[in-house]
Amino acid sequence: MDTIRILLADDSQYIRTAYQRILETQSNFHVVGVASDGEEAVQKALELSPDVAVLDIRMPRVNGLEAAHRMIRDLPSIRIVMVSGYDDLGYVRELLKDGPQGKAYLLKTSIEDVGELIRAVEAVFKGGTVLDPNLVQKMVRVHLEHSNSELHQLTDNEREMLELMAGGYEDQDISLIANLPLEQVALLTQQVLEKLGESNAAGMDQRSQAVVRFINESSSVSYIVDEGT
Amino acid sequence: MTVNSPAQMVTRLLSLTHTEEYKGQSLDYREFSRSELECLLGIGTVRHLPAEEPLTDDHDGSTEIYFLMEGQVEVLVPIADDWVKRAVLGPGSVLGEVAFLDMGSRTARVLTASPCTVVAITREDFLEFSAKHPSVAVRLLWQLGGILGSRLRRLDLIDATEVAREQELKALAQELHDETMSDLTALSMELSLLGRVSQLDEAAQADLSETRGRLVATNLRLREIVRGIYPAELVNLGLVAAFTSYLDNRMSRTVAGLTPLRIELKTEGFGSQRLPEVIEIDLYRMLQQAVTNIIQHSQASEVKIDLRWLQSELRFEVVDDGRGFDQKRSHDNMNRTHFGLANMKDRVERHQGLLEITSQVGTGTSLIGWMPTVNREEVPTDSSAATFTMKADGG
Repeated sequence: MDTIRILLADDSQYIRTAYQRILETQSNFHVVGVASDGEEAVQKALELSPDVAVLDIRMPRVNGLEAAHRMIRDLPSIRIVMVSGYDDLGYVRELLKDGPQGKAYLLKTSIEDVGELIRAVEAVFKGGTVLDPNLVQKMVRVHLEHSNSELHQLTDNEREMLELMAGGYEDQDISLIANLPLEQVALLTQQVLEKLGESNAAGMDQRSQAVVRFINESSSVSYIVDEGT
Repeated sequence: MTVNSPAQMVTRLLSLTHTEEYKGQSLDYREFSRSELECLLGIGTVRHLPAEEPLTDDHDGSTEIYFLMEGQVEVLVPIADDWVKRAVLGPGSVLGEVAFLDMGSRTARVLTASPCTVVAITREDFLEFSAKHPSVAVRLLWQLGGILGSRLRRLDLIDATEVAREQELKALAQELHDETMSDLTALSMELSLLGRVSQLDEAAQADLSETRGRLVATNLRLREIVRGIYPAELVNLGLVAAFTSYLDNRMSRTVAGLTPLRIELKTEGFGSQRLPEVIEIDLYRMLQQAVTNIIQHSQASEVKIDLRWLQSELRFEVVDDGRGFDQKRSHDNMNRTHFGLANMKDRVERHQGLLEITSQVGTGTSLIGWMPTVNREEVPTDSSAATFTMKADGG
């Protein structure tokens, strides 16, 4: 098992403590640094070269998104788990702007289930993309209200697959969650990728691309604002 | 001394020392000569009223202006379905000037607090007077204008205060969201962890689980409250997203004893552009109030809401097929905070807009509004439609 070196940044002391306690239950997770604002986070990241940075979006001095950009600039292989109290698709797009691999966007409400944080760290460490399931559900609902959304061409099962894929789950996990045999899951996920036109990229990239595609589709929804563009 | 003749009255008026509290509603009689005042008061009718007698009342249809010679009156204005005392006025005060000027309905209720003597002048008599004494008439009207002018200035100030208040609410909501809710989440995570790693027996685990459940529920409840204070979505995503989210949320909670309700929301021209923040919050709250009224009072089954942002204006409509309400009971009902209607109108009028509320008992109610906006060079041609359904409560 690889050791995963983690940097934590959040302006709430309670949150920092909670994250640390949770992550340290995993024997291969090692919290190497803790920061209370974005600037300190970037500083420590450059100093310590962590594998994964867990960042809150709303932080003083420099926010999580900006901090992530700066970290990636100097440590291109760093993985990011962004945690936010806001299910803002603009933020999600901003996060995935530099490429979706190794990035997670979680909602604070979801990480009350402690397993989620651990799962996200593991998934991004392997290069996957994780979107908070609640966020994904919202996006799907929003999509479906618009008749020209590409999602309409997916069957209900395929849509469920896409949601789980966007949640950063690999086929094995999806098989457990959806209670389907692994072969069927593999087939379905492949179908989804083909329908969304992403079957050319390979492996993890493919799924990340599907997620990105999923998000970009939502910009066609009239009331989702393109933050900052 | 009872004032009866114009001469006596003028003496009385000119001998008044204007104390601050009467100044806002009084004329500067010294601007007129004795004979001018005598002439003016001469065309009026002297009335003696006992205490606790209405001088003007809600919709009494009168349009006279009154000069108070003796006694004190109380001015009551309608606020939230109640009459609230706004001022106590004494000799020298002018009353009923608004209806006198615009022939509209009386804006306040004036009750005598003690036996009073007033001089009442009708519009017709004043018109006749103005032909013979144009200069006096003009100077009088200027002074009445001044009284209204200072009221208007106060109103503008109040509008500014409202904006400041919304900013405060926004800051409060953000603080609660970013700090308190976040901290509650952290505590919830810790409890969750405690359950996993500690060596607790089954009973203790159950207790821990329950406690955590309550903590999560508290946080969720706080989320609702914060949303009610100032929705984050309004800040981050704008009016349409926030209102859609509100409807989604509100309609997913059934209300006991309610018939099934369907709300159709159509929007046009919003695209990715945003209205000014101050307009967004006022429209949001107005629409929210409209929906609350419908859910709580109307027993409607179908509601159509339309929001259209055109090149230089905003048009909005909320139409329901509920039981309506009696508008004829008093036009004034619209101006009272009956169902928060006055507040809704205010939120629109504050931005130079108009809100027309029409209702018919048994047929339904429609709110039709309009607001001018800054000219847009590019008008998105997008449109969206969504339907929200609230099922009847089974219980």
